[in-house]
Amino acid sequence: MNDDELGERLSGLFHDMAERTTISAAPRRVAPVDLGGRRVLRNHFAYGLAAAATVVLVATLGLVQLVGNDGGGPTGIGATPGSSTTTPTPASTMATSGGTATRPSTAPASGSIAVSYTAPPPSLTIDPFATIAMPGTDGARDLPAMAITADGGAIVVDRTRHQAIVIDATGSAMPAIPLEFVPAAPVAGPGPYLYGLTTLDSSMEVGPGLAAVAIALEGTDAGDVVDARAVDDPTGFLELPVGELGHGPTGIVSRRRQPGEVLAYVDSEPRPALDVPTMDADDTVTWQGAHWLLSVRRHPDAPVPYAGEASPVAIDDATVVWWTDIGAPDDPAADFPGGTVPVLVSLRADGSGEWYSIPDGWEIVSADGGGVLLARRNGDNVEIARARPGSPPATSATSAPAATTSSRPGTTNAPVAPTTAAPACPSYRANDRYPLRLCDKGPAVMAVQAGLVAAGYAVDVDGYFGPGTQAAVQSFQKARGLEADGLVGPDTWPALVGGAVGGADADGSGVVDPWEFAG
Amino acid sequence: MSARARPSVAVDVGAHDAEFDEFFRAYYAHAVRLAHMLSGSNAYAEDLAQDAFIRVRKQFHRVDNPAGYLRAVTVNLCKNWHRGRGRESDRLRRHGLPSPETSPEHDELLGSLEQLPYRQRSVLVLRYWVDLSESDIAATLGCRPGTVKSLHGRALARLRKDLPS
Repeated sequence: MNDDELGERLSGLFHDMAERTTISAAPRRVAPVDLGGRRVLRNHFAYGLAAAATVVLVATLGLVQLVGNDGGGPTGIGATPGSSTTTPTPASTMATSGGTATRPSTAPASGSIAVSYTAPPPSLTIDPFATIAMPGTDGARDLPAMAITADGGAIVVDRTRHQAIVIDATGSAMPAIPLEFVPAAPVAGPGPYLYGLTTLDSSMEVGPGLAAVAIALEGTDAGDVVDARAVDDPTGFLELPVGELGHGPTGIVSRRRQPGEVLAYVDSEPRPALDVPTMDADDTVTWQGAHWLLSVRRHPDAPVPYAGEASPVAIDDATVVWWTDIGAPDDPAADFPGGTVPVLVSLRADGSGEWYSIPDGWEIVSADGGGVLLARRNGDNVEIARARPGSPPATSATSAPAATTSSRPGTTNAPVAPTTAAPACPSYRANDRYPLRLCDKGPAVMAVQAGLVAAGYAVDVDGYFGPGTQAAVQSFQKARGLEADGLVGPDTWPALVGGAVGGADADGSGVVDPWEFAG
Repeated sequence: MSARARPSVAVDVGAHDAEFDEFFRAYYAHAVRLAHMLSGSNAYAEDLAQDAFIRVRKQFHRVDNPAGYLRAVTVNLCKNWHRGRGRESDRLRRHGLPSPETSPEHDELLGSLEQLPYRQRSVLVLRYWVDLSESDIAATLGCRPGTVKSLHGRALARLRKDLPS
C-alpha cells in the first residue's frame, strides 16, 4: 500500500469518525476556512495534488543524479558546436542583459548541483544585524513574517499586535506602523509600500474576501490599504510558504502558482525587472536561460523525502536561491530524530552553485530581490540576519562553472575542506549509533579515532568527528575495500575498532557496537 | 454511549462576549470531532472540547489566531487524556467490545491507529482530517517541521506494517 492509498484510508476513517461524533451543544457546522493565520486549512483536493507532487519528487530525489551538459556537449559555455561565437559569456553579461529578448546566443549554462547527507554542506554564515523585542504568545510561537527591503533591511509584520516595523540595513527600527489589515506573505516595496495577501472585510471595495493589497508605510495614509485586487481563486493560496509572493517584472507575482501578476506596483518607479525562476518536476531550476539540476541524496532510511514548499527565488540579478531539508533519522527507533538538516542552495547565472546548511534555530523568513532574511527566536526577542549566499565564498574563487564540473555523489560544489572560513560543523552532536559521521562527537568517535591512529592515520583523538577524521575514514575504507562514504557503520566500525574496545555484546550482534562498549 | 446532557454554553461566564460566542459556535463541532479523533473516545470528546474552549477563552483576545490556539490546546488536552484513560479503552476494544466509533470497514485501521504513539496519531489527524500543512502541524505541536515529517513517515510505515496489503 503506498502513502497515497494509506492517506485515503486514513482520511476515510477520520471522516467516518467525524460523522459519528456526538455533538450536543452546538449546531453541526464544520469550521470555515480560516485565512487569519499565516497558513490556513487546505481543502482536500489541494492536498491530493500536493501528495501526488510529493511522490514525483520522491522518485526524483531518491537517487543521486549525475548530469553534465544539458545539451550533451563535451565542453562549457560558449563552445557548443554550431554556435557562432566562441567567446565565453561572462555571468555578469548574462545577468545584466535582463529581459528575455536579449538573452545571450551562446548555449545556456547548466549544471548539476548535488548535495548528500554523507557530506554536510558548509554552514551558512549568519551575522544578525537586528534584534527586536517581540514576546511570543501561547498561540504565536512562530516567527513573525518578514519582507526583505531593497537596501537589505527588513519589514517585520507583527500579526499579534497588528503592526509593521520597518528596520533599516543597520538594524535601527522605525516606530511601529499600526495596520488595519495584516498582510501574509509580505513583500517590500518598491517605494514605501508593503504588499501581501490579506482577508478584507466588506468595508473595502473589493471585499469581503482574500485580496492582494498594497499598504502605505509613510505619509498620512501610513498603515492603510491603498490598492487591492481580489484573488479570484482563493483556494490556490490556502498555504503561504515563505517566498510565495515576490517581485515580478511590473508587479507582485505569485511564484508557486503559475507565475502571474497578482497586483501591479503602485509606485511610479518600479524595481528593475527580475525574471521569476521556475522549477520543474525533474528538479531543474530554469532562470534567464540557465539551468541547474538539483540533486539531493538522502539516507535510504530517511522517513519522508521532502522537497519543501519553497519556490526558487531570484535574490539579485545573478543569483537564485532555493531551500529544502535533507537528512535521515539517527535512530529509527526513537520518536524524535534529529537528523533533518535545513539546507539552502545558491545558484549563479554561470551554472555553478553551492549548498549551505542553515544553522540550528534559524529559519528563512524572506527571500526576494535583495537577498535572504533569516530569523531566530531568542526568548522574547527575535534576531534577524541577512544571508547573501549569492556571493561566492572566498575560497571558491577558482571553482569552475558547473557546466564543466562533474558532481560526484557525496560532494557538493562548495568547498567543504577545513580551510573554509565557516567551520565545517556548526555544532557537534553526541552519537553512539550507526553511522557515526561528520559532526558527531562522543566516546564512540574517540574509539574510531583511536582505531584510525592504530591503522596509521594521523588524526586527533579528541572525540570530535571533523573533516580530518572523515577524510581518514574514507582513506581507511578505500584501503579496506569498503564503500568510501566516510560513514562509520556496521561494516566500518568492526574493521576499524574491532576487538580493541572493551564491553559486552549485549545484543548478540557479534560485535561490541558503539553503544555497547565501555568507552 | 453516554450522551449526557451538556449545558449549551460551556464557558465560565464572564461578561458577555459576542465575538467569542461566535467563535464558539463556529468551532465547537470542529473541536469535538478533533477531540474524538485524537482521544479515540466519542464519549469524552465533548468534555475535552469544552475544556479546550474554557482555556481558549482566557486568551481569546490576546492570541493572534484563536482557531490555531484552540487546535493546539485540544491536542494537548487529548494527550493527557490519551495517557490517562486511553489504555483502558484500548483494552476494552481489543477484548471485543463493539466499537461505536467507526463502521466495521475501518476497525482494522483504527486498531492500528490506537497503537501509535500520541504524537504520531496527532500528526495523522491534523494532516488527513484537518488538512493542515506540515508547518501548521509543527506550530500546533510546538516542534520543527522536520519532526512532523519524520513523525508522519514513521506513522505511515507502522500502519503499513500492521495492515495487510
